[in-house]
Amino acid sequence: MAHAEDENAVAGVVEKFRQAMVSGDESMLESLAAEEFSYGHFTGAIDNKMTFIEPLANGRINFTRIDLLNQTV
Amino acid sequence: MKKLTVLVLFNLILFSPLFAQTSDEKEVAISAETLRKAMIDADKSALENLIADDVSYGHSGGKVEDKNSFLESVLTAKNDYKTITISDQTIKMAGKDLAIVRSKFNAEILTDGQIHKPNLNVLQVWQKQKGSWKLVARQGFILAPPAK
Repeated sequence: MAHAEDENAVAGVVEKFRQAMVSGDESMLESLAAEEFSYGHFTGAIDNKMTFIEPLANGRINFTRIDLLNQTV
Repeated sequence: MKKLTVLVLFNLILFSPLFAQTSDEKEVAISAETLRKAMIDADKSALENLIADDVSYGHSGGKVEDKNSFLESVLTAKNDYKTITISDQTIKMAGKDLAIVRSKFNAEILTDGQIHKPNLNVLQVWQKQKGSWKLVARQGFILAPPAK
């Protein structure tokens, strides 16, 4: 049962993260990304926490929509 | 004087940031290298040891395997890894028990009589479980072609 609770909690933060990326919510992204965060783009670029959050927060990169499908936790 | 210079040089080399890998990072590097060899050798006990029971092993084509399925495909030579070359590997610790490993991954794989030569980027997540490093997640992916 504890397992299912953890999985629900993870699904919850993944959804919060998705929303924060779309809205560019800096403080939410700050609180959800680990200090050691490693964000790999499909171009091969790798962002750390700071370089990931900055363009989302200042609007240089603006996700108008993110859909996550077929998620497993 | 000469001795001192040699000593200073030796220390510079030994403690240079270039070589500064923590013991955890070294252990992870060794585990990743052992896994590479075990996949080529189809070494069952090494694979059993290095792969976490809850592993999520994602191929670049989208297929995701669990431990049983991954071991079976490597051990029954359904996917016969002839060579695997890992390059540009980085290891980043996230706390004491979690490591983020990224690398390029080139291989020659014999599948159903056909040689495939994947040229991938790979993200691995290793977790220290009861004192041993285990692969808990792996995802291979093909980079998008450069934007025109």
